[in-house]
Amino acid sequence: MNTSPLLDDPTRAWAPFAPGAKSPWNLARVAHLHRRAGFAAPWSILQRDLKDGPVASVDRLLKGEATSGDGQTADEFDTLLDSMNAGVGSDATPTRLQGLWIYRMILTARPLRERMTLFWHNHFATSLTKVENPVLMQRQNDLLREHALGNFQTMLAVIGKDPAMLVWLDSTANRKAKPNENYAREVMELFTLGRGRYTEKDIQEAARAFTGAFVVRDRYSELPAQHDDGSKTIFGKTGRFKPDDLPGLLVSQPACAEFLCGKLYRQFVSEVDAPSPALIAPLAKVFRDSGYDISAPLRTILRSNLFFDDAVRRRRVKSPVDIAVGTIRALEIVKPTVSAEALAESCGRMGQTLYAPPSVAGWDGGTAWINTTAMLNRTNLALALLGTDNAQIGGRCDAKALAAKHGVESRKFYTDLLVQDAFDSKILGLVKEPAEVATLVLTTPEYQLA
Amino acid sequence: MSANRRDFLRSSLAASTLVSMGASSIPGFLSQSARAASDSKNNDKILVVVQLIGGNDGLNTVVPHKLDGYSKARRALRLASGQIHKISDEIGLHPSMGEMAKLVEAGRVSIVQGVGYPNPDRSHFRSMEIWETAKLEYGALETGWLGRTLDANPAAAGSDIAGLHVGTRSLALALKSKKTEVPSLTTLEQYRLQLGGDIAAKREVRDALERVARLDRPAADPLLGFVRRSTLAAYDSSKKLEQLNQQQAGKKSTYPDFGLARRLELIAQIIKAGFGTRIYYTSLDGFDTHANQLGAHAALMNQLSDSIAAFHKDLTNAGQADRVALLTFSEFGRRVAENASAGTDHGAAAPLFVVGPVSRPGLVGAHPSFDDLDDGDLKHHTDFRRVYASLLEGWLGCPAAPVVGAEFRPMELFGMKKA
Amino acid sequence: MPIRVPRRKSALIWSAIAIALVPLAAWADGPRGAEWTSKDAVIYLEASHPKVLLDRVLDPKFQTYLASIPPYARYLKSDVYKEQKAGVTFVSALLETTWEEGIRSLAGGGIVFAVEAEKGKAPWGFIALTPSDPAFLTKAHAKLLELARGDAKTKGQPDPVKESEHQGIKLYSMSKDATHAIVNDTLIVSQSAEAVKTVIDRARGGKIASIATNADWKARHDRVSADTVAWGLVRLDRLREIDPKKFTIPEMVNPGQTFLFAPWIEAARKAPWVAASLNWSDAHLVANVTLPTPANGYSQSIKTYLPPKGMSASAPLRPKGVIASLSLWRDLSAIWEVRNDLFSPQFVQGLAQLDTFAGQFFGGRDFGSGILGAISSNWRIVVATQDYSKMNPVPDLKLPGFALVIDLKPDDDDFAQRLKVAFQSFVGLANLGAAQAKAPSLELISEDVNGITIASTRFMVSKAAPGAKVSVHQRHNFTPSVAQVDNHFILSSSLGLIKDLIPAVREVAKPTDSTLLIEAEGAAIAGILDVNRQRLITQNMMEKGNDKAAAGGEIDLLLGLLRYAGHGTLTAKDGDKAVDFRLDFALGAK
Repeated sequence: MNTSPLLDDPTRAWAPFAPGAKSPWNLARVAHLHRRAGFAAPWSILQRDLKDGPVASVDRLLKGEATSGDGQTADEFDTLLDSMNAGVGSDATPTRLQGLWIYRMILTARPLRERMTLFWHNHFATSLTKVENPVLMQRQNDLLREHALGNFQTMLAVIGKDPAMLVWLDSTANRKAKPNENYAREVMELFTLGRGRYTEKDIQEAARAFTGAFVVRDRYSELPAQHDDGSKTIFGKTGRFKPDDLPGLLVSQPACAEFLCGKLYRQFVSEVDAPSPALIAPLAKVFRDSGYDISAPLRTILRSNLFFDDAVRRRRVKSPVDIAVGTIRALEIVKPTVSAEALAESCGRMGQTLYAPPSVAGWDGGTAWINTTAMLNRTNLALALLGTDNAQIGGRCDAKALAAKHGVESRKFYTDLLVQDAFDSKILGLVKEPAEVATLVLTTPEYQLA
Repeated sequence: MSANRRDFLRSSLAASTLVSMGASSIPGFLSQSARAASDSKNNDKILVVVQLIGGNDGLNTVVPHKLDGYSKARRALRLASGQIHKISDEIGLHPSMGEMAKLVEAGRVSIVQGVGYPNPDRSHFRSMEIWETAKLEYGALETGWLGRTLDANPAAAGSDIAGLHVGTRSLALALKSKKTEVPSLTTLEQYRLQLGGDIAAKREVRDALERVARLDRPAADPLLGFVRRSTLAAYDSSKKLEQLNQQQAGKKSTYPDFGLARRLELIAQIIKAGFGTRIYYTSLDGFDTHANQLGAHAALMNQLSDSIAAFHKDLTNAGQADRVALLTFSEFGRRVAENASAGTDHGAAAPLFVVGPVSRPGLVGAHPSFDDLDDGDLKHHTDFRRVYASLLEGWLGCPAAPVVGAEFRPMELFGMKKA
Repeated sequence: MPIRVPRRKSALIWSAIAIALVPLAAWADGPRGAEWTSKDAVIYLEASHPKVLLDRVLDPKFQTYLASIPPYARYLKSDVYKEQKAGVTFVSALLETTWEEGIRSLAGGGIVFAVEAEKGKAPWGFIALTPSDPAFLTKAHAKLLELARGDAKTKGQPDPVKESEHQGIKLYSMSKDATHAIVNDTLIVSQSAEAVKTVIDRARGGKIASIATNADWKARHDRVSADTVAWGLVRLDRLREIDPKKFTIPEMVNPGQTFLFAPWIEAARKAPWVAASLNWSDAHLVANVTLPTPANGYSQSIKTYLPPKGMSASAPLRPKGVIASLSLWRDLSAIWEVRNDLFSPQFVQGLAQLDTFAGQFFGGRDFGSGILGAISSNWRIVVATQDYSKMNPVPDLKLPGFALVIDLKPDDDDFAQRLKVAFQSFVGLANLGAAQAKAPSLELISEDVNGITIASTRFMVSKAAPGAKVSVHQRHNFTPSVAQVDNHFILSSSLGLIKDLIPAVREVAKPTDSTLLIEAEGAAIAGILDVNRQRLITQNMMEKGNDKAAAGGEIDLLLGLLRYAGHGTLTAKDGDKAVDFRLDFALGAK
């Protein structure tokens, strides 16, 4: 089992990474950065970042590239996709919603923002199967994207008014006479503080503060007559709290910063080893000091020694969306790209149906992604991408031409591109045909890990 | 893959010096655990649930043809005694259910009579919700009874999924759970590796994939090992499925040409291939026979009977019949009296079938009395949740109380519970 | 003087030959080749008027249509096209003519393609090209041989042309797949030297019964007109003899096909031959396929499909804004009676469910005699565009309106009433379902137009919150309605369409002579797709992975093609001796 001394030394762990003799800035680290902070990167970007060093690479990921995968500028692409999102009507199929998002993830110039949107989708998990309204789900997704790298308190405030979220939590009617504790409980347990970091009284009082919030005809509105405007005591603070006051109260709880940074740790550092409180504390401080800007702890993590440590590599299982979108971006299947709707269905078969997480706790992730059906479907996706039989997904990747374009021999190319130092490329023996090499690498257990 | 590539793979992987090739290149402990996992799969009991949608007319399915109440109530829809398949002196099966009757005679079917619940609801949606969630309270639609079972008894991590829905309908409420994803299946494509080329080429590619997964890795990494084991188990089961398929390839299917038969055939194939899934769910629609019932109902009974019989025979031939129990249920029975359009309207209590190594073959429970009707409908004497409890505890070996409630004691359907 | 030849000459020469030899000439004596084809040849194809084809292709109107298709327009601008044109011009210059004139002179009697086969032996075939100017053929042939040999010599390669002789005629082989010879001023090309020798033997007077003596062939041959561009005959009985497994149509095809096409499948199963022809007049492109009816007639149950003498499908309806229109003669009640003979038992059991279902709405009437029997055999379906600007609210996805027009048998007023009541019951049931699904309900309204009462419905519009950007569901395309006009009963998805159909249905139209007619308006289809352009582009991006520009290009191509195809008609005529299918495009018609 790989352990690192850094785990016991928070100061050194979060200090910025500087390449050295024992930990050089090599392809393995560059690819690791792109896998975790984006959705994997194609060869030219890996080589560019290898030359430019860690600081520039992380900055570029935070800012975004200049052009999207289909050749437009980053802003043009965003405008186009935003308008397509706005065109989602009440008769849109779930597959259309998923397809739009996956299309965006494949071609976007801002993969970190999409990854964070996915993170928030898992965090504020809401399912189309209960909300049953594609327009509301799309609006929620737009909202998550807008605040993905922004202020968490603001995010909390807008989510509290999101009709899809309130429908999902059965909180469309919060009456004075009988306050609905559902929203309060979920907000505290799952969205901000974690289990046990609040009392039942806090929940009841928060539910009282939330009275008057209604969703009428798919829109949020506050009905003053239904609002209990008495004095409430939440987390030891007293006041005539209204729905708008809740986000501030929640984020100022110490537990909130710890909870969220713990989640960021799980998403970006390791899924299998739980971090010690001492390790999380510096991140939480950064989060608080920044005024609850989520990109602050994120920046710390992405620049840190711990993030680039050998022990942390491949400590996550790629989710179905990770592996689907990442493979396509790495293999430069962008002009044209695959059928986004077919890819969304493939992710569903692998166990992740976008816009339909199994419960309010989202997808468990980690080893929960692994079962026999999922593994078969991952292999099938690799076979489809590199073959020509599947009209919707295949026939768009010429493995030989890709390796030739970058002037690298195909075995070395695909191992370096996809798994780097995870295993010796000689393991593939004397297999020469590029398409075979690529397929085999994509189906290895190593490739399933990020 | 072309012929050239095939040879390439064969020779190249075999000749590689860096890698220990050969039949068992997988380290001992890993192969042992894989085998152990597959062995345990083979002993687990399996439950197949067939939902009959629309409200099956129990009176014309399990026909009390010698009872007065029957002949008085049914004219146009009365089934002639001569054609009915005898079960007891007074009761028999619909004429189209010849195959099912044979199964009953072979002692493989329990027909539980008079099943229902108090204050029957005659709305399709509401009554089906009650049967699927096993809860009578309005709005308790969070989870279904099978979903709760799956949540409480999850599959081993990394192994096969615990439950499977077969068919094109959207996922049944019965399977809705808090944590467990139950995929839907219409064809076996998801369980097969989508390899192109002819059979020999497919085998080569499959072997290559497997070999790469089996190769020795330098450092011991539990997460990697976990993924490897699962991948190998997946390839294993998929290969078994392919082998079964190839054996079947030239032969004509033993199943009749009905939709339900095709779905059951799919389930049988997955069971025979050794997958560890324990709960299967499918449905058959069309039972809401308000008018001109005779022909339509006969066709449905024929489909039901022939499909289940073919399924049972298939499993018997594969030696799996004693592991599998099949339950049929419908959201309600139909009224005792027929209506003016030669059909029947929504009713209440009805019989259901449990097919498998039952301990009480034949009729279980008395036929509801015609003299004590609830507003023209038969009264139930067995709560359906007791049937569920029997299947959970007596068959699947899962505690029933968390799923249906402690007040519903299991009935004896499968003999002594295993210790 | 050394001849400076453009690069990639060999390929160009071959493409020049191909281009030059394909379209050939006027119908003078007809192309040679038929007399050298055995009577039992399996396939016979003839391009009778290559000159006509060339005229049509070079027609400026046609060229404009072609140029409007983006890929063809790109091809015209491409380098490949320029090189090919240069090659052809070069070769024509060598032959001292222009490329168009060269084609017209080489232009001759036509082209014949024949395939013969015997059971157990490999099939063989040949192509015969008849020039109008035999001298030109000899000259061109000699020149091209010279070029090919010269080209090989400069490259240092051996002589590419293998020569041999048979009965005094020289055979040339330039690749292992093809051998050719000039026989009686006709160019013969075939796969093997043996094949060419056989043809030479026949030409030199070898006694064979040629296909020209076959009565069916003669009948087809006599039908050829000045506009015929190509026609052919395939001997199905011989194909079935040679390879029964591959060419025999199985007994039980799927029920859908049986229901729609039973007599034609039966005819195809038993027919000794099938013939087809392609005619291209100034503005019409017509394909004909003729299938003879079974020698012993159809089976009893299949006979129910055929209209008796004097009966046929009514004229298709053409209301305002029509996109497609279908008219079919089918006696469904007679077919229902014999369903056990036509369909598998499982399917018949499935039909029993249909019986139950319909019984609910028609008060227990027997499906065959009571319901189907009350409807006459004329069935018409119309698809037409709607006036979207008049809709309230305007749906995001704009769909056309659909209508089914049936003719009721006289003296059955009860049935007409039942139909109306069935419609209302259906609306009621739909509303129940809608309430469950929290979707808007249909509200029943009634409108009177010139004395005809239309029972119509429209979806209730939920009041939108002010200022919200509302997406309008596609259900708002539908205003299901029914009306009875004389003895016609119209069921439509659109109130507007019913109103347009009332006068259309009353028009006394010329009777047709077909069993089935389908018409479609390419421009109208393009119109409705254009109205939904944004959605189509999004769909293309999602389904095919194209970016917006590429998706737009594909949609434009589709629209261009539809507009070019113009007005299309498909008819099927059940005659005594044969079934005739005809597909007719009025190109670019507005």
